[in-house]
Amino acid sequence: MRRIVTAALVVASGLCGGGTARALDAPRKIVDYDIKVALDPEKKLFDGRETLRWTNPADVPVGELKFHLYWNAFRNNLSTFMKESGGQLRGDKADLSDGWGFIDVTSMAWDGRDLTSGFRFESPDDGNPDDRTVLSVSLPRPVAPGETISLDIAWKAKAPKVFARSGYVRDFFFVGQWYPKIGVLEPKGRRRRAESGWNCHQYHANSEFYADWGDYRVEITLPEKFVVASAGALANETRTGGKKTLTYVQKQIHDFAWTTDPRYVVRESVFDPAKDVPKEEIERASRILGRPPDELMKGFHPVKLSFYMQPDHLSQWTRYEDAQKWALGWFGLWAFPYPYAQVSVIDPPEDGLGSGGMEYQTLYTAGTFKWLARWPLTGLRAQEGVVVHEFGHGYWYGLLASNEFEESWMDEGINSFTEAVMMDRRYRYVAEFPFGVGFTDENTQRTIVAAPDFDPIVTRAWQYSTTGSYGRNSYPRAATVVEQIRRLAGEETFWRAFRRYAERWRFDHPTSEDFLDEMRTLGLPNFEPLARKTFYGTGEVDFRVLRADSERRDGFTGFDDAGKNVNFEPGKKRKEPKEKDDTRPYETVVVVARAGDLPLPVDVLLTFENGETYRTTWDATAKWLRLKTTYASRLAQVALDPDGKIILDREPFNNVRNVGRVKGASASAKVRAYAMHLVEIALSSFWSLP
Amino acid sequence: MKNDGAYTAGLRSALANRRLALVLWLAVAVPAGLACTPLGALTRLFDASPFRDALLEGWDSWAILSWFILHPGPWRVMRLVFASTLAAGLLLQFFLTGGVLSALTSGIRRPVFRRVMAESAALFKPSLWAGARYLVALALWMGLFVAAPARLFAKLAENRPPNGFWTGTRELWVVVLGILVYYLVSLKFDLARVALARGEATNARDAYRIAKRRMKGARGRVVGVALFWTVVGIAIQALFTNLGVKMNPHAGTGVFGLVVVRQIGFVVSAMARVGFWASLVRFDEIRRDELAPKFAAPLPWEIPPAEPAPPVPA
Repeated sequence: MRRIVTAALVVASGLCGGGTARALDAPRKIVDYDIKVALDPEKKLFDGRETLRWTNPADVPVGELKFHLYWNAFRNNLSTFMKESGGQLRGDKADLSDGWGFIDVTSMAWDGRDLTSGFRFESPDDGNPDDRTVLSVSLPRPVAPGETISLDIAWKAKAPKVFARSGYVRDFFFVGQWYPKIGVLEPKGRRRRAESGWNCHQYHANSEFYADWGDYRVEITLPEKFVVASAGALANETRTGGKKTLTYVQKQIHDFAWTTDPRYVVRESVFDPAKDVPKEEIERASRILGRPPDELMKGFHPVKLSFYMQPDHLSQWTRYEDAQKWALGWFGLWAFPYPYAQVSVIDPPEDGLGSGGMEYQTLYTAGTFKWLARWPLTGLRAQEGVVVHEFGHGYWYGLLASNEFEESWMDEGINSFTEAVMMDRRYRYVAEFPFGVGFTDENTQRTIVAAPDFDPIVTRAWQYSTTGSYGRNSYPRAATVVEQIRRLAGEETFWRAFRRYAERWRFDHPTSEDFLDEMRTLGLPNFEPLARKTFYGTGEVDFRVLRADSERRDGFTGFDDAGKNVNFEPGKKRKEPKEKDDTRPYETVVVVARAGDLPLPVDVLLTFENGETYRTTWDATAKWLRLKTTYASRLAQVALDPDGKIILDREPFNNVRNVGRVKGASASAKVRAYAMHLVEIALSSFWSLP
Repeated sequence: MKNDGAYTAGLRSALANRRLALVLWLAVAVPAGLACTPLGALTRLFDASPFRDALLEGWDSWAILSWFILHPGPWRVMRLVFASTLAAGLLLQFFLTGGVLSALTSGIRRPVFRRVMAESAALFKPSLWAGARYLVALALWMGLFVAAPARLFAKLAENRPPNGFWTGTRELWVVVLGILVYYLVSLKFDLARVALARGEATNARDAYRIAKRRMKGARGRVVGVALFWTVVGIAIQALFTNLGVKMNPHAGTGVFGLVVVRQIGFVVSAMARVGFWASLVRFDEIRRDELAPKFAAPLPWEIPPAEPAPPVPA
C-alpha cells in the first residue's frame, strides 16, 4: 500500500516539478561540474575526472584560479587541520596508524593547454608551508569578466578512515568534499566586499564550507553490490562486468556528496504537503505572518524521502521520517518551501559516526545507536534532533549559502535557533524522562549563559580562542541571542522579518549584517547595543534586585519649624499602634540594577500585599533604577523580568525579592520533599534486590 | 508457618510483622530526615525566585537546569548530601538486617525495636566479615563469568559491522549471566546471614559453608523466590512513585500529604522486604529438613542377634 501511495505521489511530484524547476533555474550560477569517478573499495581509492565550467563573476580579469583539496587535510600530521584538531574532532578520533587520506590533482588542462606547471600550494590563513588544502593555479592568460572557461581535471584520491565527516570504515564510505572544488571568486559588492577577490580558505578543524552555485552531473562506477545515495537524482544506471555506473544530476547546488555501503537498507516515503503539514500550524503561521493560508502553501510540492538505514537501526527510520516531514512543513511555512524534489537521509554505522550529523545539499547524515530505540532511552530524542538540525542546515548553509569559514554562526547559530523552535513545538522536550521530567531544546541551549565568553559570535571559525568557544559561540550562544531578539520583538514582528530574511537571501550568500539589517527593521529599543555587544563583542547581562524595603511611616516626625514636637515625646519610647488599628501608609523603596554591559529593556513588577500591582518597563541604559512610593499597602514582592523575556540574563535567581515572609505555598518545600523522596527511593530500591 | 511454602510464608510474614517493617523503614526515614535540613537550605532560593509559581504548578525545565548550571556550588553540596545519606542509609540497612533476621527466625514478635537493635549489634561483626567475603566473591565471579567472556565477545566483534551476532551475544550474556551471577552470589550471602541469625554458625566462614550446602541443588528455587520479591518490590516502588508525582501539590497541606503518602509507600516497601527475608528463612528451613539424614524404615526392622557374651576367663 505504501508503495502504491509513494508511486502516485512521485508522479504528482513530477507534475508540480515545474514550480520547482523554475525556482532552480532562476538564481545565479557560476560553476558546472561534470564528474566521473571510479571507486576501488578494496584500496579505498578514487580515480576521478571532471570537466569544470567556470564563469568569472568579477568585474576584473583573473590570472589565477584557486581550488580546495579538502582531503589533503588528512594527508599527514602537518596539515593545518591535523595540527589544529590534534586528530580529534566532534567527539571522534582519527586513526593515525593507517587512516590517512589524500587528493592529488594529476592533470589540469584549459583548451588543451596543460596547467600543472602553474600549480602552487597556498596557506592564506596561517602560512603553514606543509598544508596542501588550497591549490593555486596560474593561468596562461587572464579570464575576462563574464568569460566562461572549461577545465579538464584528473585526480586520484584516497579516503581517510572515517573522521571529521568523510571517509570509510569497512565497506561503508561517506564521500564529502571529495573532488577538486574551485574556491569562490567574490565580485565587488558580494558579501559587502569592497574589491573583487578570491575567498578560498584552508581546511581548518573548526571550519566548514563555502562554495558557488552550479549544476552537477556525477557518474559513479563501483562494484554492483554497493548501494549508493547522493545529492543528485538518479538519471541513469548501467551494469557491466560486476560493476555498475550510476549517473546523478542536480541543478543549483553548491556541494555534492555521496555515500555507499552494501549494507544500506532503503526505506522510502513521500512528504505530501496536503497531509503532512498540520492544519493548526498553517493557521498559526497564517495568523502570525499575516499571509493567507493559500499563499503560504503556494510552492509546496511532494518531496521524495529516502532513508538509507543500517540494518541494526532499521526500526528507527520512522522516527527520522516523522521529524523530516515536520521539518519540511515547518520550513515551508516559516522560511519558504523546499525547492528540491528529494531528500536523502543517511544513517551511518555506529563505528562510522565520525561522518554522522553532517549536512550536504539534498542529503545529510543523521546518526543513532541501537540502544536509543529501547526504553528508557526512547525519550532522548536524538534521532529527531539530528534530523531537524541537519535538514535545517539545508536551508541555512544550503539555500542561504553563508560563508561558514568566516561567519559560522549564520549557519550553526540560526540553525540551532530553528532547531529549538521546531523540536520544542513538535516534541515539547528534547530529552524526556519518566515521571514527566524533561528538558526543552531551547533551555538546554540557554545554559551557555552561565559560561563566560572570550570571543564575539562573529569570529572566523579558526580564530576562536578554543574549539569550545567556537562551539559555544557558533551554536547555542548565537541561537540564544536570536531567541532574545524574538522575545523582545514579539511573535508577529519577529517571524515576519525572519521570513523576509529567508526569502530575500535564498540561493544567495548573506552576511551577518544582512541578517542584522533585517532585524533592524523591527525598531527594537536598544537593538544596536545588543547586536554590537553579542555578535561583535562578549557582552553579558545580569539583572538583579538590590533593595526592596517597605515600612510604615508617620509622615512627619521630629521638630517642626516652630520647634514643636511632632509625633514624638522626648524621653518616652513611642508606642506602636496595633497592626489592625494602624492606618499609617507604607513607604516603599526598590532599587533594581543591571550588571554587565547589555542594556536590554526589562519589566519591573511590584506586587503589594493587597494584591495591587505596579508594572513599568526600564530601558536599563543606566546601571540602576530606584522606585519610591508611599502607598496604603505593604510591598510583597518585586520581580524583574516577570515574563522571562530576558533569556540572556546570567542569573535569574536574583530577579525576585520578597519583602517579609512568603505567604502561601512554598516551592522550596515542594522541591525539598521531592529531593528527599529521591534519596528514599534510592535507598528503598535496594530492598527490591536480594 | 511450619507447613507453608517459601512464598506463602513470606506473604504471611509481610502482613503479620508490620512492626518489624517499621523498624526497617527507619533505615530509610532516619537518613532522609537528617538530609532534610541541608536540603531545605539548598532549595530555599526557589521561594524568592522567578520560578516559584512554575514549580508550584509542576515541573519547570529551566528552573532545574539553571539551578544546576548557575549554582554549581550548592549543587555539589547537594550531591554530597545525597551520597552521604545513601551511604548512611545503606550501612543502617546492613546493620538492621541481622536483627530483622533474628526476629524472624525466633518467631517472637515483641518487643521488636529493642530486640532488633540488640541482635543487630550482636551479629554486626560476623555479618561484616560475611559482607566482605560477599564483595570479594561478587567481584571474582562477575569477572570470571561476565566480564571475561564479554571481553572475548567484544574481541570477536572487532572489525565487523556493529551490533552483529557477537555484539548481540555479548549484550545478552552480560544481562543474563550478570543477573544470574549477581542473584546467586547475593543469595548465598543472604543465606549465610540467615545461618548467623539462627545461631547455626558463629562466624562468616561457617555461615557460608552452611549457605553453600542449602543452595546446592536448589539454586533455581531460591532465585525464583528472590525474583518474585524483586518484582513485588519494583511494583510497589513504581506505584507509589507514580502516585507521588501525580499528587504534584500546590499548597503546604498538599506537600504534607505527599510526604505522608510517600512514607506509607516506603513502609509498604519495607513490608515487602520483611516478606523476602521471611521467604528466605522458610526456604532455609525447608532445605534444612530436606538435607537432614534420612532414616529408611523398612518394617519389620531386622534386629541383629545380640552378640554372645565373651567367655569369662577361667
